[in-house]
Amino acid sequence: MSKMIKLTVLASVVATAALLPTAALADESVTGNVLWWSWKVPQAEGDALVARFNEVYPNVEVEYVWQTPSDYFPALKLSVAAGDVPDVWHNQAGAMFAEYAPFTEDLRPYVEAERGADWKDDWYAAPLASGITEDGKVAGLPFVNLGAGTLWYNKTIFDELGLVPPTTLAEWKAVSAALRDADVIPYVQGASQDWINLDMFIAIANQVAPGTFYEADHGEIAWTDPSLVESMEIWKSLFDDGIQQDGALSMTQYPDSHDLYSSQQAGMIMQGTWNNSSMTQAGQDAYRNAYGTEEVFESVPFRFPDVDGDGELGGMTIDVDAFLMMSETSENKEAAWALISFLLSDEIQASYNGGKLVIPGTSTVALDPSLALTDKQREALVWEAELLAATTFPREMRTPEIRTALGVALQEVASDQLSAEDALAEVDRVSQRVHRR
Amino acid sequence: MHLQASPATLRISQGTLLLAGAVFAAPMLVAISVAMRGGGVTNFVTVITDPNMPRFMLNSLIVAGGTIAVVLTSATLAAYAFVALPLRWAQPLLLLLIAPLMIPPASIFLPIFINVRALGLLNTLPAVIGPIAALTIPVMLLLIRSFLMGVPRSILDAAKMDGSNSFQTLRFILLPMMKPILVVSTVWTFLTAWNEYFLPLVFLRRVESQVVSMAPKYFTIDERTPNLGLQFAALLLISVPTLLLFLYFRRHLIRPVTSGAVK
Repeated sequence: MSKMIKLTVLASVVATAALLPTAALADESVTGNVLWWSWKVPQAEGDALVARFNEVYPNVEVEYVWQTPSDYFPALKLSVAAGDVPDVWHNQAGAMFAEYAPFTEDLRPYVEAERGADWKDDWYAAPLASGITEDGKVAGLPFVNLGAGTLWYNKTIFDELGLVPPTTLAEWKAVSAALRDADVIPYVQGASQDWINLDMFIAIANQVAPGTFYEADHGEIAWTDPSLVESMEIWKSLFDDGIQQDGALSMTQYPDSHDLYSSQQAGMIMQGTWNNSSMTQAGQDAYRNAYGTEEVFESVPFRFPDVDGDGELGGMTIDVDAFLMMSETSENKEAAWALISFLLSDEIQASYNGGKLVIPGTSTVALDPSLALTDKQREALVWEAELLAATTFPREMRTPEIRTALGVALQEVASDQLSAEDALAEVDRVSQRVHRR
Repeated sequence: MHLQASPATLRISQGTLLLAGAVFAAPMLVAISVAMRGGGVTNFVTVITDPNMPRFMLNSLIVAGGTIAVVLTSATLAAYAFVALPLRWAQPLLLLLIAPLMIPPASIFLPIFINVRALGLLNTLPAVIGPIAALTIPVMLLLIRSFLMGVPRSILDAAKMDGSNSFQTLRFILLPMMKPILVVSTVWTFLTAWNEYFLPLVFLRRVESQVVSMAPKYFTIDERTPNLGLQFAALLLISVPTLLLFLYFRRHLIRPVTSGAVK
């Protein structure tokens, strides 16, 4: 479907949903109580979604529980261990998916019955695949996706200093030096946290030799492959050449680095599509209130610079930001599915995820670039959509052990404790153990 | 009474105290500075007028009050029994009661959760009061028992000779003497209950059943980004009752430290 057609569908869905009389849609045959847990939908927004759901399903009582991301998984772990699994809950991709997939209902019969045999066409292929277990169970359906591998810049500061976003490693160094000269932190990264370091390393590795990273992750090649060593050396150069901010290894991405960028003390940051809401008026207002400034700055994503000198800018990875899962032991599966189906409907995907400019779980709904505030931001939404539609590279690694080992290796290289080769040899030792190579 | 000290000693003492004061005050000043970020004083108004705050405050007061009632009653009665009554198996019983002190609380959350759920107490305040009280009683038992062991045996014997039964001895002789230690126990238990985070997190899932320690998490820009100004304003505001309690009882809190130092 072309972008224009998708936009038209989106507009039609939103308009139709607003005009349809609620009573005509109400389904009173579905009954029961549903407990829904999430870290993804803040409490007030969750309550609003439940209120809208109850207009359609008046006889289903939903108890919505929201926790912050740092609280969510410890609380969920304890509840699940005690056998108190929520009827519906949000879950992350990767290791968290593997941990909770055994407790889920297979959603395949439900989604097939509702959307037909070609139901897979309604989702992005890579995120959908990450919700299906090795034995074919659809343990989770993507509620919201994310694209990673992009950098963001403060266009307001760049314009003032006559700078443009870098397209090569040399330009990245030059822009960083110019920002430092102007007393602006060039680029911020919470390099004490593995997830953002991995986003960066994957972005580099996918340029140096596309796909090699995943072959290593799957145990098909060694982590000491020359292309990965080269990627690790490029990673190291970001610290040596003044691109990474001083003290990066002791900072978190949230709130430390994000705070520096949002308060306009830093010129660039690595973020993904989860940050797209900052391009909306609502997002701008929230940040202005939080940081107490009337001054508006223009924050724009840009493609990862060409760091290996082949003339190609970086692509993106795609993965699920939050799955929707149903408990295998739920006593109200029909009502639980009604809630999941409602949350995955075009109406909610367009209004909730689309309203924030984050990537919807279903591919049947496209983002509306007109929600962004500036031309550059609207342009970015278009190339983001193109890159995400084209990519097959997932963001999450397959095994937590190798992920942890690579996270440690990245920090050890950045802090001069190990060379690129030695650090990757350590990762390979873990990989050999995991894959029994 | 004032000790004699040389001017140099006084200057060093004052300098050291000022330095220590600055070290303790610094985090508070940082917290106040962050709390002013964004809206300034308006941040405090935003937090106070948040529609959830009155319910959170009331729930916390109930949790703290309930925990104090359970802990003080249980620990006082138990300590009195261990000190004043001819108990059989007193030592093994005492060891049994203080054994929870040696168990990391994190390791018993799962059995506590299973019991709370089996009792149908999820989303009710007793789900939090019970476990906090159970984990606090051993400390208070040791504290109160230690205090009672300092009471001369002759006072108990005199009460007995005057015809007091065990309960009357506790009610009319010991309790008036125990005021300082009961104040300490009250403040300690209040702090424990008021600041508890994990138990309310897992047991009190509904917004209407949550407590003040959960309040800051609701002040966010989005699901990943805290609104630090509002969160720190909330943190400072919810620490006010603790501060007031400490100021109100400060005489009693300092006295036990010095009592008995001079005969």
